[in-house]
Amino acid sequence: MVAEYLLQAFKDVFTVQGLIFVIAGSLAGVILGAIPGLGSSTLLVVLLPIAYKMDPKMCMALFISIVIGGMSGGCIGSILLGIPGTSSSLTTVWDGYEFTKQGDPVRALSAAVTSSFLGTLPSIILAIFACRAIAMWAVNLGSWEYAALCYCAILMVVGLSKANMAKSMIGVGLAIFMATIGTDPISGRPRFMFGGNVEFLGGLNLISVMLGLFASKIILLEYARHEKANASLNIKVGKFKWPGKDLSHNILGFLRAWILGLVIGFLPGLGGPVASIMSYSMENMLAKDKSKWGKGEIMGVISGETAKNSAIGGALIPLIALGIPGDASCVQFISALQSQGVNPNPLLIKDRPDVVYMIFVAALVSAVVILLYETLGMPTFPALLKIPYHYLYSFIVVIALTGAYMSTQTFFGLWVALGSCVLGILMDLFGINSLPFLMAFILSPQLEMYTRRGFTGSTTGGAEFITRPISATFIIAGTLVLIYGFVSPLIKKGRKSKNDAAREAAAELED
Amino acid sequence: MKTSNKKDRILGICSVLLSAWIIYITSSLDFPTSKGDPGPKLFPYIGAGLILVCGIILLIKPGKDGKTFLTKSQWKSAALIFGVYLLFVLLLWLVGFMIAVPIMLFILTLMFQAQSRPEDPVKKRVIRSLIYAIIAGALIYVAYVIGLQAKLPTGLLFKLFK
Repeated sequence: MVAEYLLQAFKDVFTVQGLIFVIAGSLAGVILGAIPGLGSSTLLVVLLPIAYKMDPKMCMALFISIVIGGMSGGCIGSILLGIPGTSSSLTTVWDGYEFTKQGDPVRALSAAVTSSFLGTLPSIILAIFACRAIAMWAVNLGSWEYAALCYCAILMVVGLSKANMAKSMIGVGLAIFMATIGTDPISGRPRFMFGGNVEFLGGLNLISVMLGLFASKIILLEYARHEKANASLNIKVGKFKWPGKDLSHNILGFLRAWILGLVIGFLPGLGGPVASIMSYSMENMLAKDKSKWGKGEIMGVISGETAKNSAIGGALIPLIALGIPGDASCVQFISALQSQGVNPNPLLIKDRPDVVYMIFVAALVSAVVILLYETLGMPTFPALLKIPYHYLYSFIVVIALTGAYMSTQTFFGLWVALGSCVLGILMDLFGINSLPFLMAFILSPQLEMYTRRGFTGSTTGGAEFITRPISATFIIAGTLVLIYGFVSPLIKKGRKSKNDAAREAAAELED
Repeated sequence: MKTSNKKDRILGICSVLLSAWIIYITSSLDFPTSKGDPGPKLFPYIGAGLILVCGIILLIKPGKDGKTFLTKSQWKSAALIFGVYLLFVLLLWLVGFMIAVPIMLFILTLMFQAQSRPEDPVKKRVIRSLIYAIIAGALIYVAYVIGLQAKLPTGLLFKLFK
């Protein structure tokens, strides 16, 4: 069965249309991933309003290719400019840029490109089988378990993110309120019409919110800060060199990074940035000779690049099997699926295997396309960083605002996008992490529906939420992660002050 | 050294006020619910409750202010570009998509060129922006209106003179 679906998906990808979408998406992802400040998620957001006009399979092929291209392309800016193309490529700067300074960018780029590919491919293959198994288990769950799962996912994002817990929870509370605007999911009656304005009936459109929160805000802040790196890049990059020695000397580290990336990708809200940082820290900690770390250690490049790419496969598992987005790119995936009338949930793999297997196969083909481009076209990398951003940014703003209008076919969508842009700036100003907000905004409607259904269908006044083992496990896990998020900074602070006190005492004794 | 925690205090006050407003508008919701259903007020109250509790936490224990988010001149630039966004909405409504897009592209390209190519003479930047606005505007129009057959605003003025 799986083989049949995979074969059909391969046939669909290897049509003229399929190849155009995969190749164009992969290359566009690499370019936007390479340019610091933008990232491929900006392109995904801008494309959301036109997603509903596309064939669902081709749309998903395009979207996954952009994600994989963006993830891989991030290393280019990191290694050549010393500025991370994406937040996931931050660790690549620490050692990768040192190679450029030493006049050998090809070694770092070759290792990064190969690690990206080797990180992506097996994680997607694993996701193909894991998704099916998890989805088959999840279809038997009831409203109580689904509600508990959504609760757990939101709290995990808050608890595991390194941001201020109280501020993240303010974002979650605001998102829960904003998601309740519109039609009540159970009774179908209007809720919060703000003076009887019928435009609010459909709620605040997710696409408009994301266009404001991401694309419009990012360009606005880029203009205001005027921090864009000047395109005065005069580095020459030679041809790709197979990093066989670098990989074989670090094979255990590579495997550790791959497994860690996969696990972190699976957990909601963490994704590539956390995967690469944790993997880099772990390898640095385990290294016998730490003298080269931060000064041009090739394992510093391999660990981060492998982990952030294996996180893609990890994030696809809860997204496809359970409808739970793992990171910002997955949120955009869910929006694109919803705009096609496809609702991500455990039945997705059974109801729309054509779309699901297209995502997997397009991901595999995209990884190969990117590897081909990045190995054969390595000397063109400096040119990618010289693309005049004054053309690109003005284009993105126009497409984003037009998309906001298209998402509702009224000016209301535009106002929601502009309002979200202001909200995004205020959130940045006060240090509120946008990922918990987004996660709560997208999962809150399901959380409300399943929670209320759970109570309506209960014979024990809702006790099923804590008496059913799976539901109880999710609730306990989510709560524990949240408590950990609140407590861990206090423990660290306590340790720090203890160490400071000990140091002061030692200094006094010496005196 | 004295550290400021103004930002967290302001956020705390705003959060308390916001939650009070949400609780007020939620309490006025009134429609019948089925047996066992906690009703449409539950989630807005949960949202308001989270904002209220965390707002109070910030007021009691505010963190230190981080580095400056935007300087005064950067805020002015941010306001300027937001003004251009608003102008786009106005143009879409007044003259429609076909005219608003090239005007917007021209203004934004010119603004960004002032940052990326400050050494170029103004005339050169204007000509470059104009050519780009016409070509990119035409491409966007073809892609959206002909390719995607999207229904986009035609503009109030054109409707009046029809």
